[in-house]
Amino acid sequence: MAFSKDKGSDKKKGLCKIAADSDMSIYAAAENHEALISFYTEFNNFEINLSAVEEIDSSGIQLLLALKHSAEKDGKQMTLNSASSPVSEVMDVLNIKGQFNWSDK
Amino acid sequence: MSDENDYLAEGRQVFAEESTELLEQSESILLRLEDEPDSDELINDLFRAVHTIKGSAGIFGFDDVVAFTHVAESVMGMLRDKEITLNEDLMSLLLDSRDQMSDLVQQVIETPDEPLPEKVRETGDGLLAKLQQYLDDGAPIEMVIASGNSQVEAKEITSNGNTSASEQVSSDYWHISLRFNRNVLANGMDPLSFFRYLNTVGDIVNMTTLSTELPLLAQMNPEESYLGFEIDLNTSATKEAIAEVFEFVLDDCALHILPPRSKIADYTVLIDALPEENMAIGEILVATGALTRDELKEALESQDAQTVTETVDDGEHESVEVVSKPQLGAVLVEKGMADTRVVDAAVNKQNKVKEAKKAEQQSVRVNAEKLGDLINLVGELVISSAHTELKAKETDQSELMETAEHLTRLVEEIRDATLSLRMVQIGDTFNRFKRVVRDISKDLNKKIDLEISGGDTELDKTVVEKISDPLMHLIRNSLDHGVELPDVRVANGKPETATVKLEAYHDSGSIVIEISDDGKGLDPDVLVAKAIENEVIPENHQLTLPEIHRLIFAAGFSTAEEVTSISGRGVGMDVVNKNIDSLRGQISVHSELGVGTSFTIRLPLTLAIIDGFQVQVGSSSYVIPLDLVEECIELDDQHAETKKGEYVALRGEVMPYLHLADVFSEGLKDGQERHRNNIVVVQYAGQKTGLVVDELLGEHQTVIKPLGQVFQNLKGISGATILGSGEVAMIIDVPTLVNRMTSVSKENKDSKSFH
Repeated sequence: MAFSKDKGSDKKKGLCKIAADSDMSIYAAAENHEALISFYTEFNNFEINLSAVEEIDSSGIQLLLALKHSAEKDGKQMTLNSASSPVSEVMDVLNIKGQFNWSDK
Repeated sequence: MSDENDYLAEGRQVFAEESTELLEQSESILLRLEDEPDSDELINDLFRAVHTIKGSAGIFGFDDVVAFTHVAESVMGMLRDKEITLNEDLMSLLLDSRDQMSDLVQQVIETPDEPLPEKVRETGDGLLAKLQQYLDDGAPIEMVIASGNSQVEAKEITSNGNTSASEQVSSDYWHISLRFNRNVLANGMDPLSFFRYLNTVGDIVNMTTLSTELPLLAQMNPEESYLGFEIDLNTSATKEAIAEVFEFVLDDCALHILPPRSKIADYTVLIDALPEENMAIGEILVATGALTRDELKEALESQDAQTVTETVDDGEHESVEVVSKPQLGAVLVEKGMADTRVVDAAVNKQNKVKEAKKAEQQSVRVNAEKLGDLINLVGELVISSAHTELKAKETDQSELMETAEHLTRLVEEIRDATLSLRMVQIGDTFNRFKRVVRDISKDLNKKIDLEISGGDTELDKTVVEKISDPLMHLIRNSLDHGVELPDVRVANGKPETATVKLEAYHDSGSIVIEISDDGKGLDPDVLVAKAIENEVIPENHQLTLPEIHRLIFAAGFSTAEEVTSISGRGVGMDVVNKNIDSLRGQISVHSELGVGTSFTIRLPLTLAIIDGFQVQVGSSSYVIPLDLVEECIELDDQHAETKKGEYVALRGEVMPYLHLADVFSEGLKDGQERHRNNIVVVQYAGQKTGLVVDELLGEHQTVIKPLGQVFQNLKGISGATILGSGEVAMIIDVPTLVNRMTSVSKENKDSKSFH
């Protein structure tokens, strides 16, 4: 489980397409975190597809925010796309959509 | 994700237990309110109980429960604020609402993913309509509706009451500032769920999620919470109501709530209290519209000034956390920053939370299975410590014997302590009947008071659970058959209102529960006629009055002319009898025609380990429950020789006795001489009986091992135990023996009277 690298990833370009796991809740937070860290060291442009996310809580949002912070600090790129409806709902509650870059909007 | 399901299930379980408890509590409060409708304290308790149910249901997302509870709570709120008064209609409505909540809670726990059954929904809608009437008739206090009215009012107060409006911020919204502790996620709380719930209290106008505390990806612990939240809420709810949304995380967060049009100074305190950079937080407040830029400037300036005053002010500056520290209230009032009432409310609230926490710490929920395992282990421990003591005695080493004795004493204490863990007060079970009595007496148009005493009597939890159903049967019977209609009672010269008493007390090693009424009593003629009709007894059978009364326990015996919905199906009393038998208890009935009936249930205190009295009969050891042993006396030879009847005179009283050797056909070992000179006097249910044994061996801690299926029908033996030596000893079933004595002697009498 956890986050996985998509086929479209290109090591030369440093582009990492990530398919978010269906579970972005606290129960999967450790696994997801580990996966993100391993991608983070190898790549410098991250596109995260959130279409498969069925469950997400504030820990999931935190992970995305932490990735964004790190990316900003290290001059890397990070965009999100295809938010599933649970993701949209949570982002609306926290009013946090605007803090991320969306490649599909 | 089975883990996740487990967690969820566990959470639901906690919710289920808590709400069940609270629902029971609210039921008993409601019933007490019926007697003292003016008690503010009770109304407050009721409100809090229901509010907590709503709160936890909200956190678990049980919307159906929240929706209904919210309205019920609002009506209770009106009651609390004395906007409406409690009358009989409202009382019934509230009781019905409580039942509805109970149904809803059960529904969401059992089938959380299915929609509500039609019936539950209909009942709910009906009740909601009635509740809504109270809300419509009274002042509009609905919390969800962010009413324009209250804003207008607030403005009026501002313009009339306060001349220095410049000190107030212009925002019309509540400002909530929330920083969760790192461990909040690990504690199973998701901040998100609180915001969803907050949405039911008011409109979240503005929400800012702060991630300034969030470390970089590599440094973060993904299971800790780093986020902070600044929220503007549009609501007419009170500060208390808003704070209660976060009741479950008060320990795990720093919460600041500022009312609309708070003084700028309050914001200063807030800005100062938050972990982020002052300027940064100020910018956020401006961005969300909580403060204007000018107000922010003023706030920051006054903050500097204040820090100076406060350093002079012997460092009270530290007490800035709004909800969790009382001193702030004092500081605020002293400086004229907050209304005394608001502070009082906050302090009050804190105390309540503290009290609740105290109560929480006083008890720990333990799985009943674990407790059962512990008791089994203690049982084994008791056996092996007896064995150890025995072996120690054989060695004749005084030091070893001393240690062994000490060990035995400690084990005894452990045994008592362990068993007491399972002891619960019977009061909760009793209180449940109040409602039953209330409802049934309404149905039957009878006036009945239920008197309860001895509710603090403790007995084994498994016994309490199993006794509840038989008690229910007995009470229903009393209400239905025993108690007469009011006019009949008056005609018979009795008070119009009947009294049903429920009493519990300890009596020589057993617990006694009495259910008595002052109704019409059992009519012996009707009982006998019915018994003959149902072929329970043959015609012309002579019976004593107590025997006639016992007929009601015969299978298939019902005297009610009509079968009512409450009782009278003729399966009740024999089932009651069997249930009580299975608990090693006994039930007896005493009744006087026209005066009333009382049932007495005797139950053993515990089912697992007892103090026993070990005796030798022939070649075997037997154990008599020590609680039942009154004394030991010598059987003098004359009596033994002559066998003149089986009675001895005990201090002028006639006491029957029986030879255990005869009862259990015990032979003698080779070369053993029969002593037969000891009588163990046992008392059960007021009846003394002598048991003749060969030798008295003394006290023995007895772990009761149930007998196998093969021995189920063995009379006179209630179980077995293992002695220290590894031998098996039988435990004597004293009640059966005593009954046998009495029935044998009766038979003798009867046969005499027949011939």
